[in-house]
Amino acid sequence: MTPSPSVNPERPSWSQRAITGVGFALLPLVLLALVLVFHPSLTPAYVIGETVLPCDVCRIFYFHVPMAFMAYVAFFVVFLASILYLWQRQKRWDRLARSSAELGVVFTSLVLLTGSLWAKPIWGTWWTWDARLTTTLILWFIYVTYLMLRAYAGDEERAARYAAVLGIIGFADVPLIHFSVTLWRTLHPPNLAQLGGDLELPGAMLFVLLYSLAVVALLYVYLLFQRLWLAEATDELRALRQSVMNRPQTALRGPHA
Amino acid sequence: MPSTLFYLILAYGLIWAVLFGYLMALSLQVRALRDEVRLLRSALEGQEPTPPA
Repeated sequence: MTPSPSVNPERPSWSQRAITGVGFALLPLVLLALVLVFHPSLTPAYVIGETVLPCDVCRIFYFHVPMAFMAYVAFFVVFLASILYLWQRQKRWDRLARSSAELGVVFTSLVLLTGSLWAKPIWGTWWTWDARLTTTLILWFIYVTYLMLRAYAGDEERAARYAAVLGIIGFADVPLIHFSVTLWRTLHPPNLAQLGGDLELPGAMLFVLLYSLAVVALLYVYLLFQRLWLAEATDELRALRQSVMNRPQTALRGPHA
Repeated sequence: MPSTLFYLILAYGLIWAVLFGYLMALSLQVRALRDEVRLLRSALEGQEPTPPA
């Protein structure tokens, strides 16, 4: 019998079809989020004494904050999966860590880019070596290094081991980012949990923020499953390719040889 | 402030462009996998070892 991978890219399984279904379901949810984000009554504002200054560009925060949160989640998944990989040496944990790291880097890149676009009109500069921004950039570099290690290291087993160690150590930067706004004096707005007084978030804005968080979380789950499925299929194909290469020469020449 | 709208639109455009680009990259990799499965299958079909008598 011709061996075939259990993960067959030509015939997607029911779970693969379900994931694709989630992708289609995400479309209207994303559109609704964008309608809410751009709704005129949901413009964030700066309150300075008696003066209320509407801030259109601050609408960036409706996706900037959820993406930052999901980047934390993605790197936490890398952290957990890396521990499990070092403990059990099962390939599935390595695949999970690698897939989540990739998504974490995508989200962190978007956080840095949207933050920069928000900073320019508000702070008057694209970038400043502020504690929150700098620690986030360090996080980005750590996980880009993680992905480069995976891509360029020759011995896959060893690369997985080294990457797992980096994935665990690198996560130490996440709490540092979170508490950077309280540990140091920064330009960056405080964490949402610290909001109070003049910075209080009105109910409608909080709802849109939480809704955007749900959409970004669903997007993360959808992309993670897609990436995981791809990693699994790639591994199985590699094994299949190896088994074809290891076949006896007579078998490869065919029955008429 | 109309000038700040430029940054707002650019930010949201960038978010969806990057996510769409990432999805496209994934689908290109799936296509490459499909091609390889087809290649391996054609290499194996008709070249099965005859069972020992």
